[in-house]
Amino acid sequence: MDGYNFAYLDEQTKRMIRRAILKAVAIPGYQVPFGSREMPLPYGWGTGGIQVTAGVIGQDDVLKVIDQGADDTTNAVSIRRFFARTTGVKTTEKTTEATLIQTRHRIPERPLSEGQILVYQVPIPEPLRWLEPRETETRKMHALQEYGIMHVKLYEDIARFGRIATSYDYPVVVNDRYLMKPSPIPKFDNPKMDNMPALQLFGAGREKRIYAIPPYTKVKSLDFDDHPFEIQQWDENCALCGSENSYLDEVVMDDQGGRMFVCSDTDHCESRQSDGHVGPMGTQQAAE
Amino acid sequence: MNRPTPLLSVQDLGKSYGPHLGCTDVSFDLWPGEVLGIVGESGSGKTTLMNCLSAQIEPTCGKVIYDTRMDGARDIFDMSESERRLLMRTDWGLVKQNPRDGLRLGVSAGANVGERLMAVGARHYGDIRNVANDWLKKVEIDVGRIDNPPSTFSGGMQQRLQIARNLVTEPRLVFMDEPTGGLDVSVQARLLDLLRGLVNRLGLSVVIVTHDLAVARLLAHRLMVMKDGRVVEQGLTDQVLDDPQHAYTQLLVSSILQP
Amino acid sequence: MNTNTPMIMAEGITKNFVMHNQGGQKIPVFADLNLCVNAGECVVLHGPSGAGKSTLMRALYGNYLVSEGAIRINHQGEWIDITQAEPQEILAVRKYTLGYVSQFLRAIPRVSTLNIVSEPMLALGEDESKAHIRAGELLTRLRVPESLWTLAPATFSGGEQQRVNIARGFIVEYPVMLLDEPTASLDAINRQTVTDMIRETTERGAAIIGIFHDEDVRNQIGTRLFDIHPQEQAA
Repeated sequence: MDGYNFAYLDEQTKRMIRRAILKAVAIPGYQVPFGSREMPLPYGWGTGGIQVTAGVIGQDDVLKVIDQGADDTTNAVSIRRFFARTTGVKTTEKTTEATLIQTRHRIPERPLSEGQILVYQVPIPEPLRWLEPRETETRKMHALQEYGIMHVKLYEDIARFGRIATSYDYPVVVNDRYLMKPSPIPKFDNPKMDNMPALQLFGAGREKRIYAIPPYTKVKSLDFDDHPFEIQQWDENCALCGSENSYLDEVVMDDQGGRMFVCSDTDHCESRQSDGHVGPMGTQQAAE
Repeated sequence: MNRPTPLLSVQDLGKSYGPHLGCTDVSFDLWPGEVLGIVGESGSGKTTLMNCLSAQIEPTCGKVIYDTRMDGARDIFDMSESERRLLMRTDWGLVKQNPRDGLRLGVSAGANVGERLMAVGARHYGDIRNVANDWLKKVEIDVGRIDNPPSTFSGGMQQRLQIARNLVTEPRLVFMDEPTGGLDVSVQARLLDLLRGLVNRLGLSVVIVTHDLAVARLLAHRLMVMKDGRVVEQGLTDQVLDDPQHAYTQLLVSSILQP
Repeated sequence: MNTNTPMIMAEGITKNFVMHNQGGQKIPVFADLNLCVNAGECVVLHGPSGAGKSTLMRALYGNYLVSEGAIRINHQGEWIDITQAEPQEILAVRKYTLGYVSQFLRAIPRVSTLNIVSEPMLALGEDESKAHIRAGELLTRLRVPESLWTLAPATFSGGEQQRVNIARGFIVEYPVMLLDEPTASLDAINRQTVTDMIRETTERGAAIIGIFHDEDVRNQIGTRLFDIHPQEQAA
């Protein structure tokens, strides 16, 4: 696009972001401050993720953008189009084809592989913020690894609901050191972060923080000995592809209470359907 | 008499805020199981002294040496910050005048009591809850309230909860800043009785700052009277109160209203 | 405890009060007193009202500071000078060796009679049930009705409070006891009971220093009088 630099940001800004990313990779889970820029969309729409993506994207990358698992929602479409116009790189909806995936609130069902980069959009990066409003104090708590109060939150869940009711943005400890908020992904996705072959980068635009999980890094979800970490489970299978082990969204069909559960990861669902899998409400597709 | 090592040894402690004097020339030893009362009027420097002793602020000069469980006597201001913070949430307690400053009002009573346990690595919900239950009983809070946030408690209950929250890690030294301030007289009496019992039973060493001489008489073994940042008189509690030597202490004692 | 063993010695003690807020006015109470009491003795302080008997008692207990002199207490075979001792040492002496019964009970809010009486025994590490049994025996002997034992004594009558105070003072068998008019405000029958208790205490070998206004009590239990006069007295 004329008049704009490759990937919208100027080269100095991208260098600054890359430096922050390098530092973040070197200290897994540690929040690195960076000079977050104004972007041509509002805070809360993924400005942090976009800046990280802009910092790492190259001409040969193939970009996929998902929002709540779907490639076709407004946020995903507009961010994908933004990068298509400012970089001209190839975009895709296929997890396997992508080299760079920017995501809001999900990790793709299909395991990622070495060489891929997953960029998360982060609204609030500080896991200790709910208990401690002072940034100076939370930094000290991270520095001294004083993470006991995170369990207070889980304790409250169990006391109130009989189980750990936190279901998304579930806190983890990265590399046995830093406490980290994984962004509002469902806790269903937490196990995927552990020892993932792909590089995971997190960008928070308003809060001006970047953090990272390098490939093959231990990521442990907090829990109690007598209330171990568990992921969500459904009684149903995906209505379209019949998947028994993917994260399902509830879709209301009509005003009479009709509903169905379908994969939140649209690419995963479609790939399965094209492979011949079919759910109770799906239609048989010819295998390609 | 054979004496044990002092638990806390304060040497020539002083704190000034620029030209303004907070406290100066304070030296004393606190022995295991001893309750030391610091009395004086507002502005006498007793709170500044307490804040220095409890590592809330750094003194301008002097030493605060604590007999740590692991490494023996250490100047708390020579420790690394992580060591000091660990000490403060395990072997020390800090009971603040306003329980709202010492509690997490948004989380349940049980979590308030359990927090220190979780901070030092307790990871079994059932165990934490049992300990919290025990402590609520010890401070006379109905265990049926364990899941209620302290914002729904009365002032006296909040103060008792704050005490439980501090004592749950079985600290050896507890700092108390006007623990009965702002409470009704009957509520104060109950709290004092509770504190007396806990201090005796657990063999706690306590530094208590108060302007209430009746509280000092009931709880403290020994008194330090402060005025204008200096210790003007110290000694056995009943001796200081019944036969004060310094003009200021005489004035203080004679100023009390007798009911 | 063998009789004739010195238990408490006051050597040349002088007490002046200095009232700093009244122009530094100096009020002399007594000067250069010497007193030694052996085990098995009951020394009665004798002198007119205002002679400084109670002040002397309080000085012996470490409650008042003396201006000059030494007060030595035989504490577990070791002589401790109360006028020089650290607060912790004085508290240890009071806990094991030196008992004090005043005219007034300093009631602690909310604490039951039984617990107030048991407290000095519990402080020595005795178990609660044993202390409660002993406290019950003393309260029974002093005719404090059992219905009152679980109540805090703040609302009791003067005589009842006094008897609770005596029970508390006698629950531990201190080697040295200071009794400041323990029989004041008691009726005849209770006064006799307390007199008996004091005599038994002397007989078990305690050293006692007391103030008793009742001449009959004095005659029954005093082994010797110690005269104390306003201002210009000597032992």
